[in-house]
Amino acid sequence: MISTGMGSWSPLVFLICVAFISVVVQIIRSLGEGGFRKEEDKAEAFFSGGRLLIKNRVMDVYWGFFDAMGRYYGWMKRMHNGIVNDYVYWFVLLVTVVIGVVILL
Amino acid sequence: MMEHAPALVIAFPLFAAFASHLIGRLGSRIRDIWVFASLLLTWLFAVFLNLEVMQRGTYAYTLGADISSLASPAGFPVRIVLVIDGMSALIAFMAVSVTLASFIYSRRFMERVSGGGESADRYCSLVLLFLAGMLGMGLTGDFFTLFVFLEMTSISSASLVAFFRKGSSFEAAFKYMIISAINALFLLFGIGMIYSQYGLLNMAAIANEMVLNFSFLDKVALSLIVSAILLKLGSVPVHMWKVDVYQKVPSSVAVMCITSSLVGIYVLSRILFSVFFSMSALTGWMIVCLGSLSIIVGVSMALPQKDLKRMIAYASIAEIGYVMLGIGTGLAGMSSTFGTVALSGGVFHIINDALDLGLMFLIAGAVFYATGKTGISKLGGIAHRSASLSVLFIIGMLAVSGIPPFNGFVSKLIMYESVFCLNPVLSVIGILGSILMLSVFVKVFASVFLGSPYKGKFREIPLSMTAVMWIFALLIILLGLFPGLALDGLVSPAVEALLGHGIYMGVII
Amino acid sequence: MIMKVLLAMVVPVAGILIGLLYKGIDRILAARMQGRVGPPLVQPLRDVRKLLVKENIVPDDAVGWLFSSMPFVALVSVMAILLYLPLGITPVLEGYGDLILVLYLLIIPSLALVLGGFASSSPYASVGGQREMVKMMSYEFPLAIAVISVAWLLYSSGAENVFSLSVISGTHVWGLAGIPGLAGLAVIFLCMLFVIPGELGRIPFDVSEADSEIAGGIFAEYSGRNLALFYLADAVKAVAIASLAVALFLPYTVSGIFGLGGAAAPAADFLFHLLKVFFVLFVSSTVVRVVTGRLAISRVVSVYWKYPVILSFLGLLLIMGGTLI
Repeated sequence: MISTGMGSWSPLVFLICVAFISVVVQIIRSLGEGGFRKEEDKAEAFFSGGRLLIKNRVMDVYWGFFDAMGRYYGWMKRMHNGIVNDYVYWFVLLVTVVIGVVILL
Repeated sequence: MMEHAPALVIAFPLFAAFASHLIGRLGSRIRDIWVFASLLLTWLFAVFLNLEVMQRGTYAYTLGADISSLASPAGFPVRIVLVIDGMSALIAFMAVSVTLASFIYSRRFMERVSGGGESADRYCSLVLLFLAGMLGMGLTGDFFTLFVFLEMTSISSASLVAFFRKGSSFEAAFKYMIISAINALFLLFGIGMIYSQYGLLNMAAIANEMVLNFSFLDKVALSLIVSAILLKLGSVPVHMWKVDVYQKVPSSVAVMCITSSLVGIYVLSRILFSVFFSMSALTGWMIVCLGSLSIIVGVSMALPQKDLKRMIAYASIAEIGYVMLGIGTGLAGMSSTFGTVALSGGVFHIINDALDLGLMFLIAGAVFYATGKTGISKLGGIAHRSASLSVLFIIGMLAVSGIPPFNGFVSKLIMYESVFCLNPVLSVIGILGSILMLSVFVKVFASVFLGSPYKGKFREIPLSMTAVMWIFALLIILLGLFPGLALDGLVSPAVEALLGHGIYMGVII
Repeated sequence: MIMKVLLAMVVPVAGILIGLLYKGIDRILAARMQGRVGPPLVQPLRDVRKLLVKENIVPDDAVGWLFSSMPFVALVSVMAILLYLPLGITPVLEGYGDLILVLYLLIIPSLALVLGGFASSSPYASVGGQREMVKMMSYEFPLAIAVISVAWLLYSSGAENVFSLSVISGTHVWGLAGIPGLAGLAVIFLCMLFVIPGELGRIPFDVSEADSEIAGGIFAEYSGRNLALFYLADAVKAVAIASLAVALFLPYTVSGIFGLGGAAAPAADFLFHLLKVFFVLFVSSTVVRVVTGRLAISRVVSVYWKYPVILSFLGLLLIMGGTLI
């Protein structure tokens, strides 16, 4: 049980409660049917229009996010271009900023 | 002999590194046993150091003196002095433990991916050199030794980056060598400025002098040294080399590279807490701003990546950002309670970061071992072939994002509840960063592990690799369930050691 | 002590029943607003019973253990949240968990939905899963600002233990920072109400389970008892998130006004809490649900990250300014 100045957290109590709640949920779960009668194609993934031609390719994930943040990502990807000279320029920028901050403030 | 543990902890891996090449001539089994035994011995020394510190408090060890704790026989320090306090003992212990685990993991891994013989000899020597460098950086008490061991770390890790002798590895190693050359140069420049002013190289002695006459030149030296160390850490805006390096380095070494960044954080905090503590408010705010930027840039650039190890590398940049957030708040609020709490959160996060991201890199290595690929578009459905690997990944993913009841949650809880006193926006950035981190790893999990079953060749993952990964997972779970033990036993001595700059100075003078 | 253990056993189960009750009320009111009659109040209970009778189909290509365990994890985690929230009475596990814990525990049910969707090996479920993840990324930003603002307000007015939920629900935050603080808090309360439909997956944010677009999204391959557990988890999550909003922004109790004592006071406070939760859910979920349409996923990100974030930061600035005066 730890307590920072402003809050507290006890993992053991949490786990005891989770254990108890799991028992309750398991009871609810066992009220339901466990399996299913195996029929032809019943357990195929639903894809309206017949057989699934392309199996899952989970590559273009989070399209919505990248589309919404398009300008930010365009800018970021241009900055991370992998050229060592640019890395050094960033370092020079860092040194300048740090010296400026430390000396002026 | 145990009284010379501080020196032996650094010297023994150094000796073992060169000896392992000779012993490798006799046969690979003997060399493996030799390396394992020397790592175990170093680990025992590190444990002993920790126990000593818990008993005695901070103490110094002078190399080659009659009485080892007498650092300043004539009023000023002579010889190489190692200072062991709570924080340096913790970092040394972490470095050795991670190297030991990584070596057990790497035995079968390196066999498969590089073929035994000569290259394995090279691997063992380089890893031991890397360890010696990290330990030296962690335990040293003066600036020049710091520089020497930093160079040792850079050279050995640069060779390890180029280990798989392919074009892309050479490119990454080349970039890394340029970066580390600049790093070392600026560090040396800053150290030289300080030396020219005070004529001293010992950190505590310089701190003592600076209390009285802190001048403009010291400020410039501070900026140069801090910039150089920030470059080594990989904080924004100089984080880009880290991604290239972590991608090309063998996975077992990637775990050690994470630890070396954390040693870099230790060096930063040592310099800012114990030497330049008069500028703590300013440097604290600077570190906090750079840390928040690191979190944001790290997680947002991790999302679009298509290579597994590059993603984890960006995630490690974000995690370093979290530690910087904690340490910066500790600096900026050095006299208030929230500063101490934030500092303990940051130090605890160092431990958690090594465990969580270490586990991630080990899993990435295991996937590479089994399938031979790291691009996430070519992988998929691994969960059907290896359920235990997916369970490990879930544990690591939840721990890195800070989901209760794992260890990441504890350190993030402590940090949020103290950093918000400095500025509430920082806590918001932290929470946002952790949810974005979760989305990064969910993307990885869904792409690599879920989906239709994997159709390619899937070699069985050897027991040594699985065992090491499960040990990491177990430690994650244990630290999550009993955070109080870690906080009282490991983190509080470290925090006290960092904040007690008076004691640090008193040990040397 | 015995009381605490008893409450710890009763509260999660009561949460399920209350959640189903709110779902029923929500459906009746939405139907009346749309000019229909609506189902009877116990319809959600009947829905659950129906689902429990159906077959539990697990797709061939799905990762079976993950697919079947995710509904379980979702329901367990969301019931555990109720133990840390003040439901009129002080939280059952007071002192063992605080506001940040609740914030993180709220992530777990949505994460279980996402992983369940991805584990289904159905393209519709994968799309639903990633949409849910993007939605979660979006609404956490204003939620985090809201939570930290309230905690910061309490901290700067000198309270101890500002993240503990009993302290937060015991302090009346609206008067603490003067007029600018009041305005700031009102803005942040509005953003919090805006987050609630996103968190619950109600229109306009039900992109992940869009029936007409992606055939049920995350739930496309789920049936039988797994779907029943997800349904129950959704019901309980409504109670949890609304209770959080009430605890942060509407912490008033009734027993003080009426001067009740003994056993009547917690009961009255609990009933008043249920009333407040109903009010929050009605305003943020039911009304919004019937008057708006579904947002596209890229819109969800910009809708959450533009206006609520800017408004919340504005609110935070107002609060900070208010405390300085």
